[in-house]
Amino acid sequence: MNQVLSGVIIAGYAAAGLFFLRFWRDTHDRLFAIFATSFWLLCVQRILLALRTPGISGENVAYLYLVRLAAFVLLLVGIIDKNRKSAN
Amino acid sequence: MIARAIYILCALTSLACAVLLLRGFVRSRARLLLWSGLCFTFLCLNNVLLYVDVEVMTQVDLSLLRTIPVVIALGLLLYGLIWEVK
Amino acid sequence: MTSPVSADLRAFLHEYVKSVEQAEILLLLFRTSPREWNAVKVGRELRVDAVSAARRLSDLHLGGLLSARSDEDALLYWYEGAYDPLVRELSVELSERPTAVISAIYAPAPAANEVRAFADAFRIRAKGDST
Repeated sequence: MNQVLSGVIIAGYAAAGLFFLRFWRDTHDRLFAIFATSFWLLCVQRILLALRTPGISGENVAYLYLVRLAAFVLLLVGIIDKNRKSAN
Repeated sequence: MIARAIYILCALTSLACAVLLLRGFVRSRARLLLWSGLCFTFLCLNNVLLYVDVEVMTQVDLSLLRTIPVVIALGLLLYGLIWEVK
Repeated sequence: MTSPVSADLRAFLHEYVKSVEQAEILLLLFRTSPREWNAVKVGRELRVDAVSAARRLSDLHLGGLLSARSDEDALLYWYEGAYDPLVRELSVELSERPTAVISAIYAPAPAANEVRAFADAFRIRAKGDST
């Protein structure tokens, strides 16, 4: 069951990322490029999670942290960037 | 220790996105914002459950329970992206 | 290949500026603000047809970018600070990157409102707040 859900999530993140990519192409708004990258990073994290050898507990593996962290830090960067530009 | 900080940061970031999007929905009535706001709400829940699973209830494995909010989150988001954007 | 102008400017142009001539008229009144102009004077200054200038001025007025009053038998227009940051940005961009601005003016409609609303939701202070 876990594997099925894992696959669904991987596909879901990838699809959402594609939509954000299209919005970036249409609007040239950097926020969407950031969201696309962020969602694809979450997709990658899920793939790494699915590929890891069972027996390693939970998500307590360093590289998984970093990918997840990068994805969410990117979202924060996007929000900050959006608010810096609107200062004019 | 660092892991804890990362989980909290992730939870707060998804919460921030959820709040901004839902606030935007209230202002603009653009339905995409409702679905994406709910998406980030469930992603926040996922991050909170991750924290609980790893740091608090270490004896119990919540991995299956944790995954369900993500599926819901992405389902809502994709529904909005497909149906609400012309 | 020049990079496109900012998303905000693009939305502004799509909403309010339909031609390069209209942009030039707007910027003329912006530069000389708060001086009042009528269509004939604008036509002479920019070397365009006065009838066309009159139509552009009227469109800009209807869009809320220019203020107007009638005086004797002519309509006088002036710029009073509407959308000041965007007009200023247009002025800079048109002198530095005219091709990018021209393609933005004549580009097809930007993505649906939903997508714009998504991006705008992430502004912590709503668009239009002057504080």
